[in-house]
Amino acid sequence: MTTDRSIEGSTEAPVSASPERDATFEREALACLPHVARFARSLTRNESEADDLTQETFLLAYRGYATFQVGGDVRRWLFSICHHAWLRTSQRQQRMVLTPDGDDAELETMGAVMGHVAAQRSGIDRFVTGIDVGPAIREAVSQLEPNFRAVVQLVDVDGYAYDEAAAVLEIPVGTVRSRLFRARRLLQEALLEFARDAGVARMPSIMRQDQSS
Amino acid sequence: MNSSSELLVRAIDCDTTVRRLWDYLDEELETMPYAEVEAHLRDCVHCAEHFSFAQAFLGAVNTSLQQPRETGSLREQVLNTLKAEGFRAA
Repeated sequence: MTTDRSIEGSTEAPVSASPERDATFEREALACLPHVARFARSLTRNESEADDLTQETFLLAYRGYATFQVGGDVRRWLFSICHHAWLRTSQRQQRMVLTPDGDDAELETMGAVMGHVAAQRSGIDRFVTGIDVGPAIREAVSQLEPNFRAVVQLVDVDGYAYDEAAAVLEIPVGTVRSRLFRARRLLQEALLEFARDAGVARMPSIMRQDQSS
Repeated sequence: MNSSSELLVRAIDCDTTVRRLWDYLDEELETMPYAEVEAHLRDCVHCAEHFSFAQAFLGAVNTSLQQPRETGSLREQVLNTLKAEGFRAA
């Protein structure tokens, strides 16, 4: 069986550890710990599992560090290892839930726009941009399937381009787009629902008054 | 009023414009389709509102999920795991 060690890290102990190599690993790779921990959390949705996954990621990365190409994107490399490790764990625990990817990316985009049109009609859209929507967004993200959360994390938070996210997750760019656009539509819907639940839709005149004062 | 380069940009309708919403905001469009959207947004207040809302939405998502995780104790755990592999911290 051939294994792409540059992506998966290595399950074997490092061939020859050296102080210089360790110092470089600490400086380059360990510096990415907060990012990897956050990405792991986006995959597992669970603090304890995320910590385990993060530790496994760095163990595999350390073992396979000799295969890492100097000058490459170390954070992206770590994300790939993390994603692989998570897939392995998920499959082992038979927890993989196969969900259909987003429908056609353009339809998802149109869905988001139509959602905005409806929000404009009820006045919710102005409210959304004027309140702390952080808790609503975090709750909505936690409700997404892991595959969708991972794309949102990579593109919308870590700022990767579609093709870079596709490389990390080893999926086609088109799948990144469809998952991302669907996730955004779902998040936007949740956000507007949050605003509606707050009673804004029923009090458009009060809302406008508040905003103008 | 328009420069000669702008005259080469094909006019697109609202439907075509909003279909490119996310690709445009993510800067994933090629030069010409990007310019077509920009030109449309300059003249269409309705589409401009959609794009403005979407941009604010993306900003809110980014800000909401940016919170760095407290990784002090986790770093210690990772270092201990690595040390068992022969890693020597500086």
